[in-house]
Amino acid sequence: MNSSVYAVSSASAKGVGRLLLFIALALVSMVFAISFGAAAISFQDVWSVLSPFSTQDIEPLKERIILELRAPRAVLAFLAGAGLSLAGAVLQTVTRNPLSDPYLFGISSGASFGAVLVIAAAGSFSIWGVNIGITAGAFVGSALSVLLVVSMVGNGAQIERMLLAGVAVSFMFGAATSLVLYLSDPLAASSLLFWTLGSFTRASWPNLILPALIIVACLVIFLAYSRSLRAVLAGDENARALGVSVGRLRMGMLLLSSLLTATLVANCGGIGFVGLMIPHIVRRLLAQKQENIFIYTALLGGVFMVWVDVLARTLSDNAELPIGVITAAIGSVFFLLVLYKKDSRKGYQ
Amino acid sequence: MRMRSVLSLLVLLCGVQSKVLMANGSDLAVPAQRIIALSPHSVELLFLLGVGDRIVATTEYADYPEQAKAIPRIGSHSSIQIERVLELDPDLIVVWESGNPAQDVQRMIDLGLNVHMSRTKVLLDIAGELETLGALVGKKEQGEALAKEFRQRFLGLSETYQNKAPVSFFYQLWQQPLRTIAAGSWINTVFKHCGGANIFDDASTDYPQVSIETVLIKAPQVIVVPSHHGADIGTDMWQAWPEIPAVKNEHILFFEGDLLHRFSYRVLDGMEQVCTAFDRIRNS
Amino acid sequence: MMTDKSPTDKAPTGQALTDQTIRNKHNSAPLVQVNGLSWVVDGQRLLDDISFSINEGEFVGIIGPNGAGKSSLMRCLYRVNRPSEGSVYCAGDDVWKLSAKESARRTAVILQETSEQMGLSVEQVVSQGLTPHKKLFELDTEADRTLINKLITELELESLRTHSFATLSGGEKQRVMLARAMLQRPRLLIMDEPTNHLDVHFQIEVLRKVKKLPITVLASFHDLNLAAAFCDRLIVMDKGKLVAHGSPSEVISETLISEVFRTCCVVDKHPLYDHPRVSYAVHE
Repeated sequence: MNSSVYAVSSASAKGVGRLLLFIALALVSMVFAISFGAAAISFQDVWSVLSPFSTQDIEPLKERIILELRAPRAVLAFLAGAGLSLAGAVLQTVTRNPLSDPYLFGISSGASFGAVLVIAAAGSFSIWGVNIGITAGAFVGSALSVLLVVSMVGNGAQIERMLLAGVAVSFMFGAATSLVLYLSDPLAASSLLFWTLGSFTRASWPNLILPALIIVACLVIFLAYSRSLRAVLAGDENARALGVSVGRLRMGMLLLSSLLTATLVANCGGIGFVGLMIPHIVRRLLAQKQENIFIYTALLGGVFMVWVDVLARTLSDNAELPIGVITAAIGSVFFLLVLYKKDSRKGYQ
Repeated sequence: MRMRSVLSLLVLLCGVQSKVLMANGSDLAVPAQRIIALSPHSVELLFLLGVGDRIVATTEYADYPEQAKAIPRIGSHSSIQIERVLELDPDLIVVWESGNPAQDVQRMIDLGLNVHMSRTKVLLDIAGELETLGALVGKKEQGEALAKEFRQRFLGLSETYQNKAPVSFFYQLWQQPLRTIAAGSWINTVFKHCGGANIFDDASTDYPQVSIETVLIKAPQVIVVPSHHGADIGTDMWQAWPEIPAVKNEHILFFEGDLLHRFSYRVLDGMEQVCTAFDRIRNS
Repeated sequence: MMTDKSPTDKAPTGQALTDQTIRNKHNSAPLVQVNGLSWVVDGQRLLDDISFSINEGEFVGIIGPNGAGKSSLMRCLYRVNRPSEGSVYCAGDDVWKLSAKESARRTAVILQETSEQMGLSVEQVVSQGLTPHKKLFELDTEADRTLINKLITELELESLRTHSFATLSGGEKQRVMLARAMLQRPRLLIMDEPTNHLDVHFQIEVLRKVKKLPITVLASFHDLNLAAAFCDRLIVMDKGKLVAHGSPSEVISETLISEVFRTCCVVDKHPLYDHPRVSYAVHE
């Protein structure tokens, strides 16, 4: 008996160690990411600005670049990665489909459509008006897509109907977005297209508050329900026999995922494949561990996105690459590898 | 579809020479009477030649001069209604290589219509286009005179301002995401000949997406903001960065985008405004 | 022909209880009480006026041909199918008036099929059994860990603890499901075809393990000999109706099997034990 108690506590000590490692990785990544960019700013510069212990003086412009441009951008990238990965992880769990993500449910395309419509209708005007309008547009769009999916599914919330409805809604809003782009004048259309490909250029501290609150709130809710969510993996009828109200849980999680996605689409445009890829990697890393995947999913997703943003800013001189292009390039290859391995190994591991 | 609008935009704002393409070797001796002009700038040029009343159809955004707004629309940069074109029975169609879909243009040529392909890609192509259009509509002399005047005005401005002390500028083509023009863009010519130095001269693409940070480091003396079909582009975000000379000295200039983004004769008016404004800043 | 019991066609079912006796939670009251239960889907009466009861500690089997309604009946007991008429009481309460969690604390279910569990390990699947006992945020306690370890040892899953559930054999999966059900600490265990997909060895092994458990069991069977061997009482269903009810030797008769299962057979006493044995006439 003693030995098993010992085993338990050493396992949880290992878990705490692993968690700290991931948090450290996230912090170090962000500090490093902040030292990349157009202006010549060294790692030491970043350290002396961010560390409360540093006494070294630094040019005010450099300090402002670090604090007002790069730091909020790194945080936004982290939040976007964390939020989209969480949305993907929770959708994959409630649908027991390892290939689910906000795109598959039409959430992303609904949010993109709403945002694009607002930008196109407004032309381009003062930054505050645009921000509020885009966020509202994205919310309305994603809510509309969820509403459509839900109304197709009915009370049962069966997975198959949900996925089919999601795909159809996704195509519908994709078509609507294309139509808006088609009807816009060329300059607006190409700028909108840039926007739908994702970017973190809008990062500023005030803009981070809402996404941060929503992501933290969702993470807490996912952790609260993690036991029920794990029971859903056993199948709907099994989960009901374990005392889980599957339909209600699935619907709630779908709504939360759409809230997460809409917030992030409104702030960063369309960024795909993160929600698909990161939960997979986390499950692979921690497959047999009796630990909650959501915290790790959020941390790893955030770290991944921070580095994707570094690539976006540094791959091309004087110009930025769209984030969505990089994530899609990495993600699609990953997707194919997963399918290939699944096929060759027969069955999910 | 998206791809096409991007392509058409990229080409739209790029540049080469114009030359006349007579699809069917049609008879130049007979001046065109029923013209379809498929770009806003060709409408402007035709009105300038005094044959605006012969235009029977045009495309979206052809809004100058005022009378142009009354012309029926039969397409946009992304598509042309070929059936309407046939119905209108034109004897000349002025298409724009960079602004009309290639497959629609090819279809019109295949249908035996008299298609003039305008290939304006750099500023001075406008003069050549005036000559060509003049010849096609039986206003050869006016066309040549206008072309000559265009070149003279352009060279005059250029001689006055080009070699003065350079004024570094940032051109805010679009705000969200932040986009600008680089050396390869024909719009840049206007600024270059006014003695402006684009801070993104060395960018790898002609219309790059850039970050505020890069603008900060390059510290432009002027930020140029074109209006976009009447709507103003946001500039609030610059107020937070007095480190930029343009912001500190309140040298954020607004110009009418249609003057600078269109291959029309009016581009010289825009250029004149830019040159004077830059000179004022230069001397301040 | 050794039918020692007369055919129990339309046999009377468990005595009807008044509300008074249902609320009376005295030990002698049955654990499960099904009263006049009907389940109607799209106008079809898939379950028709079914009444029976199960006493604490009993092992009750449901037999009947495919489509008789065995699984549907059990689903009414664990809150998946809501009865159209009648009621289901478990430990004194109407299960449809309990919360899903409270019901799951009273009734555990082992289904024929489970999903592949998306990479969960044996230990994680077993610990799903804690779900109905935990509030939001509540973590596993030392006592939970001890109980999980005990169940894993008892069901000989020690060496498989960290294996992925999806890679297990049918017999191993069934043992994992049994461990999970026991972790739920239910008063009633419902099993749908517990011997499906198992070889003879595992069929007997699983049922022996269940039989030893100090809980009440309701299980459906296709194998009449297994049902006769392990069940204290049998319920026979056909076309949504309860057609017979009693001890194995009361219920299993040549007449009943030929009527309900449309199969000729000989029923005699098992050579080793007291319960009946069915031998089918397989050749025409």
